[in-house]
Amino acid sequence: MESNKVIENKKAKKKRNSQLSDTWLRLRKDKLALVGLTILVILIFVAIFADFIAPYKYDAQDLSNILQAPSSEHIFGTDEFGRDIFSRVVYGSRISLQVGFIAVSIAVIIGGFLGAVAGYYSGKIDNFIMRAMDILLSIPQILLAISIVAALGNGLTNLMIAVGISSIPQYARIVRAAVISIKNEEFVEAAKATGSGDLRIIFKHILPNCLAPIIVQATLGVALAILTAAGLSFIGLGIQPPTPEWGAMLSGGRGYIRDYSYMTLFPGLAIVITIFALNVLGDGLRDALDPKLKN
Amino acid sequence: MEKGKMTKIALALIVVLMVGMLAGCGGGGGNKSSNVEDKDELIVATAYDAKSLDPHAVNDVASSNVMLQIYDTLVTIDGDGNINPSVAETFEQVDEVTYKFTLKKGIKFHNGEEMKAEDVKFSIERAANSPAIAHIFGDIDTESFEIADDYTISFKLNNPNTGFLSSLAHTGGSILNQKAVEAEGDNYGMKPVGTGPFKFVNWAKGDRVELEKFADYHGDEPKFSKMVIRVIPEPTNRTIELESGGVDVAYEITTNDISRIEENEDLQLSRMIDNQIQYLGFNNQKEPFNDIKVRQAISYAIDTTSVVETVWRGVGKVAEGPMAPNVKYADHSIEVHEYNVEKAKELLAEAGYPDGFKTKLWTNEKQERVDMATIIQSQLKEVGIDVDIEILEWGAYLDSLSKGEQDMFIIGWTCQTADPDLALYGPLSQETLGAGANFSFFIDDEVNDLLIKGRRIEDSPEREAIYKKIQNRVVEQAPWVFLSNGEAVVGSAKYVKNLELTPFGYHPLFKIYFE
Repeated sequence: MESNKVIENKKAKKKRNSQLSDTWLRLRKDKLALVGLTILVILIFVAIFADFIAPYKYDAQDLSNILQAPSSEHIFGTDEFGRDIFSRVVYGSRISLQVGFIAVSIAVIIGGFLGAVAGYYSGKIDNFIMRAMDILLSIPQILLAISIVAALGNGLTNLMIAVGISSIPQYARIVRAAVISIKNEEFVEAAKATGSGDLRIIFKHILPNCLAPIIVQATLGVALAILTAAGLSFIGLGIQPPTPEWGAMLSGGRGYIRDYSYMTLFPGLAIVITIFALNVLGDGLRDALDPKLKN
Repeated sequence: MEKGKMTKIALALIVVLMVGMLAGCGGGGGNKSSNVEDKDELIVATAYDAKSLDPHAVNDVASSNVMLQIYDTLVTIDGDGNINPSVAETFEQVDEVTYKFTLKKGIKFHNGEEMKAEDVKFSIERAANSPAIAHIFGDIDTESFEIADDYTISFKLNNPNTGFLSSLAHTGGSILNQKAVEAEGDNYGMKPVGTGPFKFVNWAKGDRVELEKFADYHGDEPKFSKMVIRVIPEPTNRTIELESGGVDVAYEITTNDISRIEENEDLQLSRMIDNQIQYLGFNNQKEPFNDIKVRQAISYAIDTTSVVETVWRGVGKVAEGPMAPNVKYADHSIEVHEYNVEKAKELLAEAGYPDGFKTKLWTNEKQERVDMATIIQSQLKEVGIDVDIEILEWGAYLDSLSKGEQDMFIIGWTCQTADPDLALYGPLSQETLGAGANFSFFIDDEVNDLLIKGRRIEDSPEREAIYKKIQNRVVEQAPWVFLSNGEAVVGSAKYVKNLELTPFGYHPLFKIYFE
């Protein structure tokens, strides 16, 4: 038994490895996706090393130096409190990526689990879970997020939870579909025949084989989550000052847009570039993970 | 292949969009070629929507601004604080507590009824029983109304109140038609009937109130027949609407846009320091703010001058004491409080908080208040006080404040007459704790006694001394940190004439004419 397991694991690993490298090979050919990946890597780097990259603290006010146009001292200019916009955009990447990845993780874990259970057991459980998801889906995501933030109260954590919960149904649907499509494959039957439990089958055999659509959806989902979070903080929900969230910065700068447009330009560009990068990467991943789709 | 093309197109679109964004700024300019003489409609942009058009249900500037055009009061007050007759032809204070009014004959309500003494009794009695304006009318003796004939009425106050006559000019003293109020019931706030120069036509909540000239108005006939009061919350959009000719008058022009309007030869700017004081209040009953040392420490830790100058940049002024400078008996010898971080730290240590503490600063969504809060947050950090800013919607904000849930908060108080009683009694007396506007739950017997004494004696050097004493005592007790005095900054098209600003935040728009 033991040695069987080891062999099985090794095989799985090998298979996954080869799938990974295949994917990478295909992704490498997609230049636009590589651009997206590079931007994303740079962003993650910036977020991690924000303390070293930003020349000022994000909340360091300098009231004698407010609303300065971009200069060598403040390359993106300063805002209405004399804070360095470049530093705030840099620190903002940390907030946005955090919100994006954590919210999507919440959604993937919960949604994925619900979807897998629904797809695997089908019948009444499936019906129950998926009808609940349908109810959630019938409410527009941003509205759902607004009501969750309103109920939980403001704060970064609550914002992540709100964005996460509001995107659960999408993952549940995708995972359910993927599970249904492979749960009758021979290797699942083989696992059943060797006496594996349901949970083991779901997590060890089925889920790893439907990662592709989850990865694609998650990459695009991060973009959507960042956008939703920015939208929420634009309307004043979620983020409290002085947190340098990009959406909140846009919102703060909109009163000055006609005279000091750089206050909105730079955080706006940051959002655009991030979303763009995530989207092209997601597109590229979809093509790379599922070569059949390409034709 | 198809996908790659799409993304490329998307990329190109983004670039085009950005270039457009950068190039799109500037340009514009008003198009005012339409003939001014034919103009028969006034469109005004305000920042807030009215809450209700029932004068006894609310006490906020946005509602008053609409009600002022619809209703009349017994008397009016002019910019110098003089009291003039309105629907009351003559008025007289019979003794310390008794007031007698003779009404003009033949005044019509918008529903065709004639205004008589019964309506006045009904309205004043209703005002006296209203919690929203209790600080102004709560002391009227509702048993004391005497109606001699249809046009003569008198009533008494429970206690003498020197500022009372001018309080009657507040929109809370508007005269309502009993029939109309009773017919509409709870819906009256959406269907107001007054005797004023304009009658109510339509109210699209959150968007606009439409009014129409009232043909049977007893006063000077308005020079235009339609008035639209639009709600445009974004300051930039108000200015843009004004520039592009979408509105004739725009309220609350922000600092950014002042020079833009001044430099535009089609527009004009009117400014007036108003009777508003904005302050940072403490919940004086809650730890740690029940300790005067903590309150004083925070006063020392906030550099009010730089806060106000950064946020308002030349609009209004830095507040010195608890009363706006144009209110009667304002003590001009009070100076802007000292900014001294060392002293603040010392006081905090004495109070038992050498390392500061964590607290919350509440505000509503008004951008300037959020901005002030953000600077104050950063200044308090210097003395170790860790502040979370909590931003609430106006209704929820007032609700929480009256329940005493707050720690620190930023709010404004506008004195709606020139009498010091109205400036101080509401936000500082013990009678008005919570909902009555004493949101800082400031309980000080000395101040309270003086406030009561002050409203009961006639204008005299003695009264002046009382109010100066109150102001100094309040400064000393530090229930608030005084931040700024407001200024009405109203932009209008050049052809708008006779736009009279009041220091109360709402303005008699019906007097405007076009030329």
